[in-house]
Amino acid sequence: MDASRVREEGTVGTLTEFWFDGMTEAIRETLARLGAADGRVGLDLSHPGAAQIAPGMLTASEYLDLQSKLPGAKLENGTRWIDDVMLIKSPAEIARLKQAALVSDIGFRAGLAAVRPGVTENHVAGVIEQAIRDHGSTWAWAITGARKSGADHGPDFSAGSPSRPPTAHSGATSSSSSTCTR
Amino acid sequence: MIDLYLADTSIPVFLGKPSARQAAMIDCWEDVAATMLAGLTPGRPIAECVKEGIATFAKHGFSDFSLPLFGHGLGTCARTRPFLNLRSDDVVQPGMVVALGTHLYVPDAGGMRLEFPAMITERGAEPLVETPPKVHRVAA
Repeated sequence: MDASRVREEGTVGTLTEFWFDGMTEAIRETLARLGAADGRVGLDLSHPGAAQIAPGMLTASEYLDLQSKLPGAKLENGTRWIDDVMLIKSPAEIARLKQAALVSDIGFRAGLAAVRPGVTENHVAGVIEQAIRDHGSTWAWAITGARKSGADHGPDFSAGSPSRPPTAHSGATSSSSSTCTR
Repeated sequence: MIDLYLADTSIPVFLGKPSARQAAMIDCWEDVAATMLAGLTPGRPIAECVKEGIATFAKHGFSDFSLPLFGHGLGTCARTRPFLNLRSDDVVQPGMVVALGTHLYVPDAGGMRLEFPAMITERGAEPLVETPPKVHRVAA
């Protein structure tokens, strides 16, 4: 299912398909066929110093699996090479980023209009999400009311957000975020 | 998210009337955001731009409550170069798109976070959003 989508939407030349957890075995087979199983292999690990990993990066168990399947390879962190390719955006990418930004403006304005005393931040988050989805966004992570950020004595996750969301009140700041990332 | 490309927009809203402390925080935060936006011009090392942001927090006396992190690259992913921190060895280049970040969190007073999509052109950083990187006020 994913392979057909990538084939349809991507620009990939050669696509190697795998099923279930067969990714590392597919990588081993491909490298062996290319005679590269004992070479330097760049992996999508994590950015040095970054506090979070990005979607699509290898898990620790996948790394260990590759290590055992490719005993002769020199496994390296290849994120820098991947970022080199992605660093400068093409006109088609910029068009999409501009559209995403425009939609986030719509989300912010909707959120701003919803802020008033007594309204929960959770409600504002929902207003933002509805606005951006109605304008084509296929994802949302409105952080408004999501957690304590030093804004005040708002609840943390364990205190019940979103079941007991903080309420907007005078003298509080809140970040309205839309079309955001994990 | 549009066709897998992200906006990563986050802009603060203030409800009511800020105290003197909160007003000072807002002044600082807006100054840092403006400084960073103006500083991202082609050819400059990212780390040099970051030093200006850190210095602006210091000028306002809020160093202890700020993060020395000012954003990251933006595309289908938001954990990507250029990372706007002192460890960066990237140089500002036209065609980069970043989510400019400004973080100021003071316990019991307030927290402000900017995530602001901007594209680097020959002239510098151009915002991709229309909403200005300010703290937006709502009357209580």
